Amino acid sequence: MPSLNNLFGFLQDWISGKLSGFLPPWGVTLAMMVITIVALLLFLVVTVMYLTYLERKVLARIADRLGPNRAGPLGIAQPVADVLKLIVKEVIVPARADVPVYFLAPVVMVAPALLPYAVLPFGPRMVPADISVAVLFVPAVTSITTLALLMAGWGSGNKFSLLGGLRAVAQKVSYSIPLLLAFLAVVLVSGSLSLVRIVEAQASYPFLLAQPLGFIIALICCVAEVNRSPFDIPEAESELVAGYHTEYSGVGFAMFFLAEYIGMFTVSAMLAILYLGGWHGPLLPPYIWFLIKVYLILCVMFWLRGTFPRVRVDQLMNLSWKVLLPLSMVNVAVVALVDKLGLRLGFLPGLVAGLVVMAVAAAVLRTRRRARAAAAARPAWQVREA
Amino acid sequence: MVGTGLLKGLWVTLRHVVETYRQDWHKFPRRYRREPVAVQEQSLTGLFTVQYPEERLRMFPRFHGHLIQKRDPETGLYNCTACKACERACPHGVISVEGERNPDRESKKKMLVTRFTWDAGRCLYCGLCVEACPSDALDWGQGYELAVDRREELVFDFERLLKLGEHAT
Amino acid sequence: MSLTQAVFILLGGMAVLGALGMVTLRNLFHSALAMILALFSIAGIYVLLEAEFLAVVQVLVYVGAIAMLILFGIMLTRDIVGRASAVRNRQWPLALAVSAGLLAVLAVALVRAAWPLATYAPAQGGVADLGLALMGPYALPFEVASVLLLVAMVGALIIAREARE
Repeated sequence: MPSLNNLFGFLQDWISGKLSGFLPPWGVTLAMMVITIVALLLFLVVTVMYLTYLERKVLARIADRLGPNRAGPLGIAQPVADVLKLIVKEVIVPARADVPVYFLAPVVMVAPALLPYAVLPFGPRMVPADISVAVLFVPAVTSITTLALLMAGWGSGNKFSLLGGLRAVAQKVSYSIPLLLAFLAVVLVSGSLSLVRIVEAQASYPFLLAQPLGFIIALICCVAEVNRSPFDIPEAESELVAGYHTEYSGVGFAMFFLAEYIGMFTVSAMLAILYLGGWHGPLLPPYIWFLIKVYLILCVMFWLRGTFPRVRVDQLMNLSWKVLLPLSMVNVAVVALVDKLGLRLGFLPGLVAGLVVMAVAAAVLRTRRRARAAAAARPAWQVREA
Repeated sequence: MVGTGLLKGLWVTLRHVVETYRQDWHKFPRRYRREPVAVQEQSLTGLFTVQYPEERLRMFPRFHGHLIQKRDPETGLYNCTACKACERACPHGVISVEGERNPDRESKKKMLVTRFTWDAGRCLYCGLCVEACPSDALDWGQGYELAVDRREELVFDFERLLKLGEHAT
Repeated sequence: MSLTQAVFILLGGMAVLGALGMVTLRNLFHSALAMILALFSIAGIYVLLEAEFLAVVQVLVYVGAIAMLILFGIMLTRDIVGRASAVRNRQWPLALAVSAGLLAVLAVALVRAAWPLATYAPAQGGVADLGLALMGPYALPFEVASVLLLVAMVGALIIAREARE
């Protein structure tokens, strides 16, 4: 069992031991870096392929359907067929495209989507680089994808794409603020910006129990950050054709697709690390536990997509600026207060405080909604006099 | 409470997912084996998907699949009397009937059908011919796999319609 | 030449290229992209200087938010359908004078500086020190900067708000 727990550590030692036979030390370091990067890339591409399959299956079940079932047993070869189709498809450049920007956008999209995997810990010893500001690093590099969306929207020379790009920017900038504030609360409690240290701090209980409100805020913001339904207004099919990637076909489109799903995996991994205790768990090896938690959050995201209709632009902005931002600020204050009190009761004070804040917020929102409904029900002449 | 609507929605979708798996369980080995399965009823809960070539739906009685010519179950003689009521009723002129007097005077059948064609390619499937038929000879069959390679094959003659009628009953 | 130097030359070159592109490119959108390249290269230089926190904040704030808002502003205010803007306008002699003066001042400062090597290692755990510094000795500048940003935001809101009777 211990050998299984630390499988990747042993693999690393074994490979570097073999390599040091005929390579100088810096060569071994370089080779190990390349091997790690290639392994991670392979893992990500295969994961993305099967995430699309999983998503289609889950959505199909929600809609009382079977999902992909023709290619191979249970449709298991469907992602392979999809990838082949995208690769052999003709790349069409729109006549009014801004060609360099048009071709750069998919690259700018994929590269920052891959960067967070330099710091995400899959297990103890399974983190390529344990940098001290990893919690900030991940949102920082993923915020570059916004630039790619804008470039794609502009470069396509198409008004729908441009609108999609503009919406994407507005949405990402708005939602990254409550997201960072929610993460800040975790940092406050764990006392570190390093993801490894944060996971180690959750050995006794996951932070989800201590910060239920923070988790909900972070979950909503993460779904919005990766433009997933019900916050998929940058690519709203019924309004904008497909938003920023309307004009992309073949490999360009595949790059956007890849980046979107890698982004989903990244934010799910972040939530698993910050709130669900990362690799901690009984019996199974740590990396298996980590993947279980990540897939759990991914399934919740599919579930949300299968359940809720798309929100309007104004609802989206209201939710972020009028609900999530104040709530996340209150959350930081409450978490700091509970932490400062130093009650030796584990997660209980945090849980109680979080639930109380949520109940108060719900009551406030309800009275405001009632007031608005009453104002709307009043005849127009009364409103004007008042 | 704010947000209970969201939770209710999530509960509904979750229930649907679970229900599809419950049905999966009943059909477990059969559904995933790639072999033609018997005709089945449309399910009203759980999975709605019919994996077509392997699974087929039983069509409902009022389904307008194709025309059939019926026979009397006792004597085995066809019911059609070549009265041309269907030909007159057809708004598109899709049916054409020709008949002649039966030379065998003793037979119960006074008229023999010499030619009866139905051009499915131009048919509206309105069913006026079936309603017009005075001798319970024309009716609808429930078949729906009528695709052919050439347009001429869409013209059904009397023999083919009789054969379809045998399959339908 | 060490690896660090090679990376520095690469990043510095990218930053200079981006800055040059920003002022010379005729398409406003392209200039904004060039500016983002320059900002991003500077973040890379921060990493090279082992100021990870500064680098991450540079990317988060400048590339992730401010550059986005600039692009947003360009796309919402300009006639964006591919019209090239002139590189020069009537004020170019004035601009030349100002930048020449700035260059002179910087050049003199650069030549006169002694460039001593630091005798101590870069601070480890920079984030904690930074936080303590901001909340301790530099609390007043920190708060003033916050208030300034708040005032700017409120001012922008008042300017942008539709006039009601």
